[in-house]
Amino acid sequence: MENQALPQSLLKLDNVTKVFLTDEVETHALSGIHLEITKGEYVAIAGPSGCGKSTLLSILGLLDTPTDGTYTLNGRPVQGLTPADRARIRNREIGFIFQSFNLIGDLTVYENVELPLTYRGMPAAERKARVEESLEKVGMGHRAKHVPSQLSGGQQQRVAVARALAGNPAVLLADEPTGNLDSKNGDAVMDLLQSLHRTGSTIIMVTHDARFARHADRTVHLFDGQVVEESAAPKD
Amino acid sequence: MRQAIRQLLKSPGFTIVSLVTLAFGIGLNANAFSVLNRLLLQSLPFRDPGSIVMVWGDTSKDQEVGQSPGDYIDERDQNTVFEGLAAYYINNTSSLVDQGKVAERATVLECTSNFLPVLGISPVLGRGFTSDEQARQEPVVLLSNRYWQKNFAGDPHVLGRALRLKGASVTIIGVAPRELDDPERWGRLDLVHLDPVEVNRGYRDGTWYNVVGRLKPGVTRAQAQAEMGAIARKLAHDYPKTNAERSLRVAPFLTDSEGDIGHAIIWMIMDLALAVLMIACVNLANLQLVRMTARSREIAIRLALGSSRLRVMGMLLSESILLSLCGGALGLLFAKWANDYVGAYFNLPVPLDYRVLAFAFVASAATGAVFGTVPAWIASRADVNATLKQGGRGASAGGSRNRLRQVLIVAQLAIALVLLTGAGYFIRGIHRIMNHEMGWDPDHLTMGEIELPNAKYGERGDKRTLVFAEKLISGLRHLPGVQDAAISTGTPIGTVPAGDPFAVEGRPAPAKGAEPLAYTNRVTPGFFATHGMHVLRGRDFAISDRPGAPNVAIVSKSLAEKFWPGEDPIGKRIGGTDPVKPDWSEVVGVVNDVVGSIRIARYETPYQIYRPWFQDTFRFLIFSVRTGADPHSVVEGARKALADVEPDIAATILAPARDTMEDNMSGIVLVQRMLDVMALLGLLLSTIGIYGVVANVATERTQEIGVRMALGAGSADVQWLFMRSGIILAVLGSGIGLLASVGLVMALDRLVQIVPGNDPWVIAGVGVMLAVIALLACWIPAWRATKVDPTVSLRAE
Repeated sequence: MENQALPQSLLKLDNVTKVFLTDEVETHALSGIHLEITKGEYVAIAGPSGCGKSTLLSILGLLDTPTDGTYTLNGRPVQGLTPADRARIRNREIGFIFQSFNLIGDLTVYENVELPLTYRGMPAAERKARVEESLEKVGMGHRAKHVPSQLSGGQQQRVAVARALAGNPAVLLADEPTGNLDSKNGDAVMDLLQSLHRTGSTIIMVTHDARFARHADRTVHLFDGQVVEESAAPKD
Repeated sequence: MRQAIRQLLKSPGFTIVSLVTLAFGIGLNANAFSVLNRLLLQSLPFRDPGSIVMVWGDTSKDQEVGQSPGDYIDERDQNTVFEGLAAYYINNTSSLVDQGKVAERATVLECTSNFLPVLGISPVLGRGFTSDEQARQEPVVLLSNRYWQKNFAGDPHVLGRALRLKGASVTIIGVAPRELDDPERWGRLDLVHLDPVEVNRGYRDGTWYNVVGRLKPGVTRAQAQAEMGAIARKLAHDYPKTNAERSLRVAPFLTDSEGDIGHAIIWMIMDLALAVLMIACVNLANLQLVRMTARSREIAIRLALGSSRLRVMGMLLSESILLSLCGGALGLLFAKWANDYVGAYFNLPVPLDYRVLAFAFVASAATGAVFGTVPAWIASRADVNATLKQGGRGASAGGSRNRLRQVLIVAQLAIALVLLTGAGYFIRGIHRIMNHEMGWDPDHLTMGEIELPNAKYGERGDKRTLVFAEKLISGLRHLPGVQDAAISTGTPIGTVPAGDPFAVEGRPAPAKGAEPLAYTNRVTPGFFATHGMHVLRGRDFAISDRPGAPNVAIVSKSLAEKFWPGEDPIGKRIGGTDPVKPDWSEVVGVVNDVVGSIRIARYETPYQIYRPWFQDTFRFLIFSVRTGADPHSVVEGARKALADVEPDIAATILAPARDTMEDNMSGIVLVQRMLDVMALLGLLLSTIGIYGVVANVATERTQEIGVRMALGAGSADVQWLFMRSGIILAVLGSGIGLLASVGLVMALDRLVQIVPGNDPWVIAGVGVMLAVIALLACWIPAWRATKVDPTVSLRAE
């Protein structure tokens, strides 16, 4: 975001493989993935169900580790980090947006957005400023005291976006962010991501909807755990 | 019902845990109820028991005083309200000799000839006593049924046979009915002996008789009371010295022999057992709530298909009740084992009779209803639409369900803490009793009690007793390994009573009622060494301190320091409080203070006075032997030494002092053991309970854990999330439990004064222990929560 003039590699996967072992059967979820994403880029990962999209996103989000290959985030290899280090990097450099929002029902909107900042040990005053700023950014400042069950699906997803943004992460990972929304709310969320992208956010979005994939600068097509095609989105 | 069985078989883990919980909970209660039933609820096994009453002496200090022989005879002869009025007492210091056998201690019911008719029972063999026999003071006895079976194998030819009782020959004229084989009421009775009450017709000072009467038909207890009141007033008028402040009270015949303290302790045990059952109910309710969560979709489908909420509740309740009845059946097995243990401990059968079975059935059904109703009600209130929309994952617990579970856990922890405090109280108290500094050494000390027969040795100051004692001491001192032996009238085992008022020569006489009190013991030379005491000044008694020699005394250190501060007490004189006849004794020595093995503050006095036993012999005596070896090793030798001197006499108690101290505590030790079991069960169930709740909450929040981890939560963050809720529950439960525990300790202080168990450190200790265990129970599921794989939990969405 700071230096948009010169495209700079933010994350890079080299020959990443993910193999699951169940009942002595090897399932190759990902095979030989090469992927490089630069700062400020908006990338869609598309493909049919079971093609490895979510596994790829989990590896990118440091929720899972590759079986083989290297993953470099912000110039630092991260595939061999301890769980505690991975948690710290997730907290500081990655923002997640889930298909079913995953807001915590017992917490208010404000507390949900504040949660990753709390884990960071940020002072309360700074947290407050960040939370309010994030909520304003997604147009949910007036709902800070509500609990998730009092919001519509679209509003919940906007709060989830605010939560992802609050920590000012290096990259936003969105997993089917419109999957649980009607078309109107889906469009609104996509517009929100688009506007974030325009202000410099790096976004990686998993989707199986070609209509939404078109919002991204580039679409990576996965099939049977392999990148089968990369395409730049047609610009309006 | 088939469906209920199928559901329970489908969840074997839940079913087994529930059954074990129920078995312990209901079993413990059935055991406690069995004891209560055996000791307090049995009806009297006598004809028309409502007509049987006790006639007690009634003073301002005690409403259940025994009666003197003179008073009893007057009441018997003057009343018009009783069919019969009998007197009796239990004597368990008698020596009994069967031909060709060694003397043994016997428990004898001494009674008037009309005792059996008043109770409405008859001998099973031979005949009862007659009034003629009583008038002639015939030496006749009935064998107790138990003694007859045990010693004569139920031989019907036993009638007419002679035994030696207390050194005199007695003739067996019958066998008493089984109704008198009730150790709780009569002790372990061996004989029923016709008491020569008429011998003491004029005696009104001693009140050792219990008086029992059978009301005439149509006479009420109030009418009897009115007449006995009038007789009491006449006695007070005729014998003002002994009877002026003594009235008579007609009371129902005792249905048990436990006394107020026994009643209170037995009910306390029952209450605490119910508390354990409550903990079990709480656990089961929690398990059911968890199960309801897992079955919420099934329940929603049933409701969607048109089942009424009542029907769903009924279905769920029938499962709970079936489960609790099965648990109750297992509990009875546990109760049977526990009853056998208690029975063996007290040598008293504690049966699982119809009352206990009915109690267990009601307790089981009620338990099932209690732990099943609320979860079933909550489950039947499910939002069908919302639950079905959540698909097959099962709904997460609703707020009301979680709050209820938390309230239940807090209650459970509080009850567990109360139980632990109760157990801790007794453990601490018994430890203090067995280990407090007493000023005498019960180790390597063996003691025996003897009652010499009045006919052969007289009552007091008889020279024959003196000769007996000298021979016995000599025989004891010659036993291998014996260091010293002595005879005394008292022993510091048990409580050291406050004793008698005394006066100090040269000091103004205190006002009546304000005299100092001292525990007085008559001892032979060597008593102090035998008891491990120390003569601090002056000398021990000598063999020359005999009748005719100057009266001498040895006093305790506290007495000497109090009454002769800064002075040498040797040569000073103490005596009785009668100014006309003080009977001064010269102080020849000072010994260390002693306290009893059981201490009751309000009865204690720091002062003790010792006098030479040889100067005032008494036919009730205690011998003591100190050995360098195991004190058990001299028991048989002591028995033989006694038999060598007097073959007709058996020692009432002959055992190492430590064993006797422990025997004295046996009831308390049993209470402690029962509380230990309850406390451990309570602790175990509470631990399982809090573990289950936290583990279940962690399972329900797996997806949330994944989200939090995705947002950057570390292991410590996730662990703290669950520990925090556990800590809140533990602190709340411990806090409420501590308050209740303080109440329990205050109640126990009043109830069992002989057990000095009040120790704030014990309450604090068990509080901390419970909190630590509760936190450990939270920590394990919290730690497991940190092992959640966020990709798996998020994929579940």
